[in-house]
Amino acid sequence: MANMKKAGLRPVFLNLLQIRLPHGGVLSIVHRVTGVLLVLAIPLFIYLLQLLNSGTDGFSQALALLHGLPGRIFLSLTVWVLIQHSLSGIRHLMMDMGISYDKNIARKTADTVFALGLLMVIVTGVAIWL
Amino acid sequence: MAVGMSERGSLHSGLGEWVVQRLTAVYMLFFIVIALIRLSISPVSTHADWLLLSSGLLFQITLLLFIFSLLAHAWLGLKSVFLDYVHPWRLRFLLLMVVALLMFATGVWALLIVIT
Repeated sequence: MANMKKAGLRPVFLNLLQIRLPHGGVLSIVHRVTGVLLVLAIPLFIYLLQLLNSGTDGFSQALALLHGLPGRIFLSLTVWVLIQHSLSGIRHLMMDMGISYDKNIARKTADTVFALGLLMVIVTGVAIWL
Repeated sequence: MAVGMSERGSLHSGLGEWVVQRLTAVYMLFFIVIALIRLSISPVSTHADWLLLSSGLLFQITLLLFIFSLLAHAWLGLKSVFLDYVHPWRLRFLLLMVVALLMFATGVWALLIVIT
């Protein structure tokens, strides 16, 4: 009981502007945020699937949506978020297998994920917009 | 043994969720990569292309598995976000129930689209 009381009195430091997270920590937050964003895209994609599956008219309507400006913006945002989430997810899987437990390697893989994500943003951006 | 208890005890369901989160992730990664390869070999540009692809049983089953994996993965992910950040239990319970319902409804919606 005495311990529990003590635990409540621990100093708490939660100044988000001053906390300096390690690179892996930033990536972890990014993984969460991108994950939540991807959930929001689920109904839109199921809707797209429904259009694609509803005859010739629906199919061409879906294609028109995807090629229009809002469609392209939605598609590129989703693709970018998905790539970032997948890359940090693959890093999680690697860590599950015991790769990059070491602090320095973990930092390097986190940086690699950010760099690869940026590269893929450029590649897919070119593919969608040009 | 009481109802809902496993050999490991009722408090160890998190291990199963951990496995499901990873298995669904790996399946989705494979599905996306294979789908991209298939689409780059023979792109879907006309309705006839789409009919050919979407009427295949293999495509229908793997697509449904993908969507169900996605929903399960999203459910577990959102659940851990809520458990971490939403502390008032009534609000947390309400949010979890709403998300569970939405996930289930989306799964039924997708099933109806693919099989009809």
